[in-house]
Amino acid sequence: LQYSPPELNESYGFDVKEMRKLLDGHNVVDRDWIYGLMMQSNLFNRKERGGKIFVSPDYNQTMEQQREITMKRIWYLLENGVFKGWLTETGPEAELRKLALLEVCGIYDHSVSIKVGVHFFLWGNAVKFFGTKRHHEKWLKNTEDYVVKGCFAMTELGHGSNVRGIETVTTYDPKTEEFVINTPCESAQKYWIGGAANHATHTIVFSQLHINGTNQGVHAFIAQIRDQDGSICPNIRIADCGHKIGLNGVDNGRIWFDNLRIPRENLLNAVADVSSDGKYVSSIKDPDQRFGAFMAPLTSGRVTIASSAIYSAKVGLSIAIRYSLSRRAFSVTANGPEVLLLDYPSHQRRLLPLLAKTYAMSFAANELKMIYVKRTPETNKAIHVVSSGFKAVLTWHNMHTLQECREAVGGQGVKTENLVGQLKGEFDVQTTFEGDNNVLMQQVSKALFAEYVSCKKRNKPFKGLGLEHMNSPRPVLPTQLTSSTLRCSQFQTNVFCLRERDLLEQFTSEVAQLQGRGESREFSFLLSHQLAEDLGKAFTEKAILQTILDAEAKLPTGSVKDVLGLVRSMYALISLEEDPSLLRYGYLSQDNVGDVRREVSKLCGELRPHALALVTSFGIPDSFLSPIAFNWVEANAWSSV
Amino acid sequence: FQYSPPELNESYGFEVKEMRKLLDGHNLEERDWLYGLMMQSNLFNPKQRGGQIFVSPDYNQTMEQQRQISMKRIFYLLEKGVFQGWLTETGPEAELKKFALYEVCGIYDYSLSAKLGVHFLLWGNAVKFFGTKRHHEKWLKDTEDYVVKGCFAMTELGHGTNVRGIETVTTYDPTTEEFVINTPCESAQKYWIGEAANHANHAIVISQLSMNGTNQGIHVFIAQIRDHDGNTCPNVRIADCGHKIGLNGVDNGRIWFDNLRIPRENLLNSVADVLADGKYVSSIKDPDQRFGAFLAPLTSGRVTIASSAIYSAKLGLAVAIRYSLSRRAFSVAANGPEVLLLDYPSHQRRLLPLLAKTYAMSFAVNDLKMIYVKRTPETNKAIHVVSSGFKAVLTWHNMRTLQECREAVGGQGLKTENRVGHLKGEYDVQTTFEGDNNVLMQLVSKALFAEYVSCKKRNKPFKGLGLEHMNSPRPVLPTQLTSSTLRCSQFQKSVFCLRERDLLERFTSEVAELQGRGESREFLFLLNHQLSEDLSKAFTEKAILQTVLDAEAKLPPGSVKDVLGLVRSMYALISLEEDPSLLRYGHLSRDNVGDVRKEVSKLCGELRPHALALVASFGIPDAFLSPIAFNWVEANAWSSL
Repeated sequence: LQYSPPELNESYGFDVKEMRKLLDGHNVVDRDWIYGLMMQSNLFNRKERGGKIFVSPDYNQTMEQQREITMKRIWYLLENGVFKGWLTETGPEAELRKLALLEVCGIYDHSVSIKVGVHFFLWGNAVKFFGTKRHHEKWLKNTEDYVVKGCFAMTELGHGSNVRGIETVTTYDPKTEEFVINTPCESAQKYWIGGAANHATHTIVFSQLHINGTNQGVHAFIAQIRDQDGSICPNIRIADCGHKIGLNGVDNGRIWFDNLRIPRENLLNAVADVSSDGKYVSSIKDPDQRFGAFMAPLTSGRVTIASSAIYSAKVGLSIAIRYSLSRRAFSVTANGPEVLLLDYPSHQRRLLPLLAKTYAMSFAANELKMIYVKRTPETNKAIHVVSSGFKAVLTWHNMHTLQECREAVGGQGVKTENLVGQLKGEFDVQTTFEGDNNVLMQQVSKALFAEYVSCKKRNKPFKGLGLEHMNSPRPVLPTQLTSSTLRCSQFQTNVFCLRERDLLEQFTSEVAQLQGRGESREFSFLLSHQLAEDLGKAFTEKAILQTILDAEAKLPTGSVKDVLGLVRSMYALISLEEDPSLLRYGYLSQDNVGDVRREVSKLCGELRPHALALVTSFGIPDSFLSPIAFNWVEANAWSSV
Repeated sequence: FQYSPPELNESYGFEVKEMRKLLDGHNLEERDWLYGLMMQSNLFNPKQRGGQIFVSPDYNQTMEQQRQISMKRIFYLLEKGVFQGWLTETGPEAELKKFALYEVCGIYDYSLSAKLGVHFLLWGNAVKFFGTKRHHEKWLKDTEDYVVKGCFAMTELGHGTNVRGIETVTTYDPTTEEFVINTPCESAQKYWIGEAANHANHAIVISQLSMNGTNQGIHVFIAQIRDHDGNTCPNVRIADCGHKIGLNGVDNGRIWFDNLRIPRENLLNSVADVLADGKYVSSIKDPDQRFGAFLAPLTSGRVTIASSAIYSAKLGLAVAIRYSLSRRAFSVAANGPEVLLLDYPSHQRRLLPLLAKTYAMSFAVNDLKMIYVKRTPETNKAIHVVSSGFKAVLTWHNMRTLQECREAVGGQGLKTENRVGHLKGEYDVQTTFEGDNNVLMQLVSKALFAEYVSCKKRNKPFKGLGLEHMNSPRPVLPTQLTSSTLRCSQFQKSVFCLRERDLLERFTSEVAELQGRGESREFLFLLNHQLSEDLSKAFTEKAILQTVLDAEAKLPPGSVKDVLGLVRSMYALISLEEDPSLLRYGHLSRDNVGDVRKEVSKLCGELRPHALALVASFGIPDAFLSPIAFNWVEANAWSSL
């Protein structure tokens, strides 16, 4: 058989450049600039396959080799000015540019973006947000220029999601005006510290602060861990975390502090301080609020994780859909031509709903970035809740998408160079770091619970977290769902609101009932975990729907808006189809569910002609995809060996 | 805090040795012997962690290193007599012993078992089943002793699941009495050939046989591809498939044949032969039946894949459950102790249903092995259908289980040495090789459809494929499902039978309705892919339930039987809970589904005290699990460096 490129048989039904601007949302020129920088350097492992150039790390290398080349790639980007202003410029525009460039790094290799993320977003932002003027002046420019290489020592062997339980202890010695950091036992060792095993010279240390016998809770300190020669400092021990299922370009390490002494000035004192005579001072008296103040800046991690998850899904879908538009299998009629994979209804069902979800979640991630960079003290709570829900739902979506894409391209998905299989191992970490997804979903539902109880108790209207719809009467759904009804944005909004409202009411009712039987509130939450998960998901899916509706509303009438309407309907209806709670709790009847299913199949057929244009709109250069997405016959030919 | 081993706080509520005998089903002594052989050789990379020895490959090695060490491990096992009789002994006992030893190899490293599978089960079985006396005498002993190293060249770049469409062509030259094998184009190159890249010196070649201008369909040949020095033979070209997301100890390669000449005797001629003068003879006249005869022996691949998938899931669950019995997180009461992970209802929900499914599927795979080794021409059809369903359902279950276990152990799941994350990349290939799972599920539903139509047309009772229940009246389910009803095996069987019956009737009815509108049958199957998938899953889940019921029925009253009853009920009820079609098609009401869900939660609580014993019953030695399953504090301590 002969390879036939999808472009030969498909045409673009809308302006893909316009769609790409919507999807990437910001800094399109900067993105293309850094794509170009990477494509032109041999450090990014350029390879020719089937007459095309691809860039992708060599994952056959040992972890030692991968770590070394990752650092070289970062130096190259530094030399080319990619990181200019990342810590010394402020404001939404600077932050958005930084996020855009980080996203492109992640498209090339998650290890590059993680190492850059640890250095700038964890270490750098900790200095910026927890530190004060003296810390900014001393550290930020040196960090931006990689004179200082930072890491972020928070997680411990015995304490992952439970930051409050950290066992590392810091005391203060007023005689020498030094803090003394100690790892009291093995479970307190700092664990999974990106950059610690090889490259970092300094670290942010999260530790309990004991002042005159009183534990003031977690605080953040700066500690030097290596000298400029790379030798480990005295009173510090560092060990490797070893080979990982992905991200082997990141040198994760473990750190023990043996009564390490650091200057008093190394306390990052925006929230609290210790005076030279050992007196503890803080403008925030309540320990819980103080703990919250230390946690708030970590939200940026969830924002970047949610966003990079979606870019990973875009890479996977581009490859799988492009392949499905050139690969054929089996004939339907005797001696007839073999059928393109994406013309099989079952293949459409596997990939096109995931494509629509990825589109919707791309708008959601953009929205999250916007509210993050424009954050105020008033929006911090909403950012925390929404970013938790989005991080969980988007990273799980990415894992599901990559698995489906891997299987959709058959054995070729097992080849590392084709990326779809490899990305699974690279991105799996996202489901459990910066907070385990299951824990985050519980946090979302607890926040909704608290909001509900608070408004009911004070008899106030709901405001914030998108709960305003509960101030209106309960939506009434039509008993018969026609095609036009199902595609109507008002219907979609109503059913998502109804689901959220009902689940929230059930959840609060169940918790109250259990509490009435004498269970503690915490334990009642544990027992109601299934409702909590359903609610967390319903809230998040509704928030995502709202973002794509908002994006659509801004568009002038035309083909981009039309296709986006199909995509939005697919997102909404597949979310409904996949949610068993809609039938379980009676929002939809059996007939309704059948209508939804048929409509999803219909939408698959209608999206099918746009599949190529929709993945082209991701704007990812061909070099960053893989050979299987292009002439996979020539790429595998003897002439390419 | 301090590590506390689960054995300190849990007791075994039943005899784990007895349960292990049930689960492994056969050849326990041989399994333990082989476990011991691997533990005592440095070739298997023993490492001490936390005072215990673990054996696991070093996956930080490059693929070249991994391939080399895999071959050394095989020669070690060869020297110890592990492969004795694998091809020269026949009968069920010999085959079961081979399966058992093969399974243990896979627990250590899937590359090891995959290489053995290629050599013995693909190449070796092809010689045995397609060949005749002269081939057996010439090749089987030499294969068993690794004098000959075989591979199996079937899949092509352009033809994966579609074997009928293979493009490699073989013609016959009567003047020299040789066959001439040719790769006519790039899409015909043999692809994913395990052992072809480095180690194999001979290949089974599946090729179209073109005799005097007539294509007689696919046939099977033996071709030498390397000489004994390891040099590639003339008129053969071999290239590497490159780095993979897993199984990097297997040297997958690609093969092109440039009018390669082989002796006439190298046709494996049990199904058809070519005489010296070029006359084609076969006792099977119909080309479709002949094609089926060539494919039938491939069923063993599905049997071994299904089995190794379950052993992989056992490994993942043993690690994750043991960890969840020593790891704590968060307190529920203020200043109270942190809670063990497996005491969280949500964690129980994540792991215990998967444990029950793994148990049920373990019995299913034992049953499949038994009917396979006792196969007759009459049972071949059933074996084909059941093995297709089991291979799909069990491999998908394994992937889901490993993903859940990986997330359940948090960041530790990313460390390759802890295995749960790494196994995902190793076993992912199982969902698409030996037939893509989605295609296999279609095969199952088509077979059921054919059986249904055939029996209805001839007005004969159903016999075979477990459809005999359809000869009885439709089961009537109670409207109210009490706990004792839900746990009753008769109820469970009735609901599984009802589901299968209804889906089969709907499927055939829908196909008939569409056929009445003039669509081809093949196209109708494509359009009804969703019902088809539901039906195949229902069929397979019912077959699995039957195997655990059969296993349970053989047990005397006692604790093993009691726990197995809980496990079986969990399997049955979680399968019902997870299947949206039961509510969608009205087999269960909303209240019924609520009852099922509550019962599943109750069963979680009842299985929880048995969790440790249930995973100990897997009989996998501690050395083959991972450090996170044991003293993970000491394993990570500075003293373990």
